[in-house]
Amino acid sequence: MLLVPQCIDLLKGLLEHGRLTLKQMFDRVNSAVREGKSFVVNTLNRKLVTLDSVQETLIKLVTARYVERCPAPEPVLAPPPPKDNASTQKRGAKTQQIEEPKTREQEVLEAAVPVEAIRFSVITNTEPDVDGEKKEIKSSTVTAREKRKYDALESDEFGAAETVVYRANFEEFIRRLRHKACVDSVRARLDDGAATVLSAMLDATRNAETEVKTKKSGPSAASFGGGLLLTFFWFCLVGLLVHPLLASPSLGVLGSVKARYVSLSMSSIYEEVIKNEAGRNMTLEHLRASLAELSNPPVVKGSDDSYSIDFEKIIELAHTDEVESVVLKRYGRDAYRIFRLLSKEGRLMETEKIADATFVGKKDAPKVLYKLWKDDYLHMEKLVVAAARQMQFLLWKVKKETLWKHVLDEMFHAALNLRIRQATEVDKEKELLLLPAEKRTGALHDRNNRLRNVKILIQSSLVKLDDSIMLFYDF
Amino acid sequence: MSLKRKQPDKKSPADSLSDHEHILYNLIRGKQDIGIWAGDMKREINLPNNIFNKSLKSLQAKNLIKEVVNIQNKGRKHYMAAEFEPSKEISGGAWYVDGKLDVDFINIVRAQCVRHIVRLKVATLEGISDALKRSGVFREDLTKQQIEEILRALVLDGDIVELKSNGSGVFANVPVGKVCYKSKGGSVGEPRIGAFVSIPCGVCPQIGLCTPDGIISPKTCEYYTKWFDF
Repeated sequence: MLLVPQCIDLLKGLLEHGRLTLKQMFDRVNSAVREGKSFVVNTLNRKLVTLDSVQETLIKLVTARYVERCPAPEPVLAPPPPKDNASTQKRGAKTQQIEEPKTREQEVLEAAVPVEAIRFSVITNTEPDVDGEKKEIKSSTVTAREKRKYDALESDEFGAAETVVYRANFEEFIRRLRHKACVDSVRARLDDGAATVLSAMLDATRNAETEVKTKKSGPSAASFGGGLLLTFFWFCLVGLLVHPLLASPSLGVLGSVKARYVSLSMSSIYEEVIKNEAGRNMTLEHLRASLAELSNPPVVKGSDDSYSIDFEKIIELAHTDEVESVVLKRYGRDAYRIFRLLSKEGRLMETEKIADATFVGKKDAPKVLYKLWKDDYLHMEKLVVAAARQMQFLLWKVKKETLWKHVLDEMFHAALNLRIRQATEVDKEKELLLLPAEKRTGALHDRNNRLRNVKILIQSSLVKLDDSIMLFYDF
Repeated sequence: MSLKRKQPDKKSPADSLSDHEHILYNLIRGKQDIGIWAGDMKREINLPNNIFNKSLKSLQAKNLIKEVVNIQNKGRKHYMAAEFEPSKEISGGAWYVDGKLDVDFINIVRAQCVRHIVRLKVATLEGISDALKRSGVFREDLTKQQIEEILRALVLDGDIVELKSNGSGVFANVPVGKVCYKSKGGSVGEPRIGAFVSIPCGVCPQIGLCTPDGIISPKTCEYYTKWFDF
């Protein structure tokens, strides 16, 4: 835990600069110490930071997979296979549907990722004062075989310790934040007991999330939305680093952000639950009850003493909760009931049937439906029946895929609006801000306080909004 | 369908009808529980206006036909033979009275259902139906379908949750797999407030028209001004 402030300093540097060598990290930390901007100085009142200390912090971060070595700058890519029309034709239609050919860019990105052992290893100069040549790999996962492999690679692909660059591993951050969002969602939907059980299951299965291929890689997520996610990570990493997981020896291997099912037995869940402070007093009976709660709706699936987490279900429920809360606040209780019905049914429903099922007046239901459709919250189809006289029916549906994108767009719009309004508020008070603090008295003092409160409100709202944006964009 | 046909009396008033009244009555009666709009009647039997109106009034006076409210078009005069009750398409269904949703009655049924679910902790549709019958709150017993409709609406409102019995714990008396209803506890009807709706843009119906320098703009937005009114 003593290393936590140093970890924050180091990660802050990596987030600000994108990538740094060990030497650059060392120089940056020391210059921050000299300027009094370091987190370490602020919190522990330390003045000297040694290279060993920076190395130790880096190893800690790399072991926790919050930091990784940058991919190879010029990956060697196998030449594309020759086009063989005959063999392509032989493939079944099903295979062609399932297998999507990788683009050249995807292949390059995959080839650039170092092997697991190298990606999460730190090269340190153990005797820098003697000749600066002797290097040592420090990684919790490196085996003797991998070390030999590393030595071979080191000679050509990676240069000396000074040239090895590190960066923040966004993939790991997103994975941990996704887990955190799942636990928060379950806590809000059910109770603390269910959240404790889910959290314990996540701790126990973290190692098993082994799919390397992720749908959205970390760096692309970081570049999206400008500085928004960067700001968010800065707020989040403080929260994550204080978490005892950083010091845990059983940190997970690189996992897929989208991994779905990993099974656990009741006894292994219980073992994990009682390890946590929140679950220490939980009985087996209580655990059983919590697992039953978690299976309705099935965010945890259980059969024959084997329980697995359905991440997608949890995230889907969290999406639905967020959108439903928008519908309730923006369009009212009747619209909320209608929206919930259509969202639950997942199919086209006729106006009158909707009115009957939701107890909304038959005159009012079309108005509510029209309002939701006009704002792109519902999909509508017209059905014309040509019987004795021509009749037209309107059918309505919640199209989740398009609606989620629409809500995400609105959230980005809102984030921009928050920033614009903050700039406007600051601009309105620019003369006040030019005054020295001691001259801001009386009414000026009140105006100053108001501006401060406005900024706090906007900043905290932005952080919360980032949470929801991640829910829709990254998870 | 609430189709109730009375036994005709031996000396029915229908026997003493004029020819015009007879034609009109047969037309209306032929439409059964759907009834017919006065405009459609005029077009179908093609009688002069004064005779048509006189015959209609006479049939009403003899209690052979009645005027009913058509939920599809409340302004139109809609008639039906006295022996029929309006169909669901015309009346709006069991929850409608005179073409209006009977909100007071619905709210009473809702409250009673929630009360019994809270008391029973976990309840099936049959359990709630029996509890309502025993309570004697309602003059006429509600059908299972009516109670189910109310329960579904309560689920949609988030006041109760629908789940399937696993046969243990609170579900011990309910067969495995049977649909049950459970009270949601403290947060009845109030869903979690999301991050987006905590800011003015989340609840703004004009967000689609909002632009940085437009007529609707975050720079001048009144909702933001109110939000900053600490």
